[in-house]
Amino acid sequence: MAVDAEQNVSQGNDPARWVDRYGDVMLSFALARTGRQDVAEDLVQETFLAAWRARDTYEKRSKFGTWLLGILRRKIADYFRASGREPARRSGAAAESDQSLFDGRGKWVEAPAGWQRTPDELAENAEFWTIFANCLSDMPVHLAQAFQLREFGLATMNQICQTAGITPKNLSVRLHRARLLLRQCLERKWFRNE
Amino acid sequence: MQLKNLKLVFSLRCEEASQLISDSLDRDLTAVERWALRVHTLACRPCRRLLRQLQTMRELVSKIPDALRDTSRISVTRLSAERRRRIKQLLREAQQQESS
Repeated sequence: MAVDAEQNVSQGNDPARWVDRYGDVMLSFALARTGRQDVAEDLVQETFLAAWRARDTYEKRSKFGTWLLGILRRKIADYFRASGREPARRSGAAAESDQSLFDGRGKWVEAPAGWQRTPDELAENAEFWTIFANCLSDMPVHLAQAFQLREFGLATMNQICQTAGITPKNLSVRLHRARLLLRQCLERKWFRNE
Repeated sequence: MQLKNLKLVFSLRCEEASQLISDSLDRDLTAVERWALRVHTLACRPCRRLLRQLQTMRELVSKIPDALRDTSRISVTRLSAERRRRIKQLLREAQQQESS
């Protein structure tokens, strides 16, 4: 993203533009940590209001988006302190691997089968897409999100890492898991029954 | 080739191979990783199939119907329209309070 564009957004004292520019990214960030849409939206709202009140303290040295995320982080910490809840489990590479896809010796639990139909044939089939959508929504939110951002071309690898607050290694583990879960689900619910 | 690399080439397990196959959709693999994967997939049909499946999935995603892409289930997290309006309104009020 161009630095100029970013400065325009922050300098122009039109906070409505902040919402359009950063709202979705901040929501993803808050949702990944709180796991609740309503709470995440409340926190994003508080963050924008706090940012407006504190706008004079923003120093141009850092990116405006980073500054906003800093405020959001504090809001999230406050929320957990006040509610006595635990933050959504931070998922590192180790925490995310489980035994459902590979056995203890790294072998396939459910070996991929040959898929007969071509993408062109499948794309015509409404029933297939229903199953595809169901498979995506069955996935843990953080995995589905990484997959969609990446495969729908909505964000670069770096942007996804920043948004989710994870390392490139974490992201590659998430994408791996997401792809394996999706292919397993499609195979169970579609290709095996063809 | 270093011993460590040799070991990677000849002892890759399906779990690691499938991680590399997934990575290959996101970045260029290193020479050693490519070799390791080649040796593994030569002997492992499930992992060869995985690569084809992931390629199929990527192609499918490029053909996803617009209607489906737009439904909330499959779309990326977005601030709801209602909330977006509400935040903008609150910000406008904060602005006006200051200038009055």
